[in-house]
Amino acid sequence: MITKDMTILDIVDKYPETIDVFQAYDKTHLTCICCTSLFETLENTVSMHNLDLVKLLSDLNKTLQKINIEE
Amino acid sequence: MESKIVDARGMACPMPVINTKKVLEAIEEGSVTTFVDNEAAKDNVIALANSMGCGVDVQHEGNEYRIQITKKGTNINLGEQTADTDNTTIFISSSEMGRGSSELGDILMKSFMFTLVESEKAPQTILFVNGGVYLTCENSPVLDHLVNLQNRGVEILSCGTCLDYFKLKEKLAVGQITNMYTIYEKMDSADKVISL
Repeated sequence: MITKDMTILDIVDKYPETIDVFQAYDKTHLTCICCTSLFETLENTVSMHNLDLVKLLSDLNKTLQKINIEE
Repeated sequence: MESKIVDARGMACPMPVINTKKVLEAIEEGSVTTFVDNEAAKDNVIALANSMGCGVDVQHEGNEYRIQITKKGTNINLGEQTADTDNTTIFISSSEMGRGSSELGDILMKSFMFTLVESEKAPQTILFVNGGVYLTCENSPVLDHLVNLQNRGVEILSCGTCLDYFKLKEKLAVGQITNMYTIYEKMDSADKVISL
């Protein structure tokens, strides 16, 4: 389970599959979240990049669910 | 002493950091040399090393960076730190001390840092946020004092969001970059927080 107080590094280190989710956001927001906010919490990252916290959390946790189902 | 190499050239963020982190976590002490070919990866690998309390040396050639990270065994400095510091956190949110006159504020901040250096018991952590991060960067009037405090075991932490906002990340000259989660954690776990 990914929560808003985890840092981006904690998330991608523990769940490498989420890198794709961040990279998808990079394309739509023309930034590199992992480059600029790796040591920030998800909550801070969202405010820095003007993202939707609920949607991002949902996208990340859906990725985890998919992995669990496939396993 | 173990010596490992991480070749992260050609890798996109966050892989250089993740690969370096895994190797650093796997060794008790020793050195890890990471090769990267972009500035963002270099900055993040340095930040990782700092956050893990490791020494860092960076060499730059063309588009490539060679980052040598030295990890010391845990608790090596713990005895010194507990002897010389107490569990106080100082929270600094401006480069000046107090309001009224900027010029006087600068003088007072210098005087405060000098007093900290001279005091018998140093704080455990000094947190710098907002305009306070100017104090931990190049050309800071109190840089020598902060380096001195760091050498005595004081943890110097600057807010990463603030360094980004003022475009100072490249100029950080002492201590490590931190995030709001850690800032809160340091304040919450301190016996006493002094806010300037």
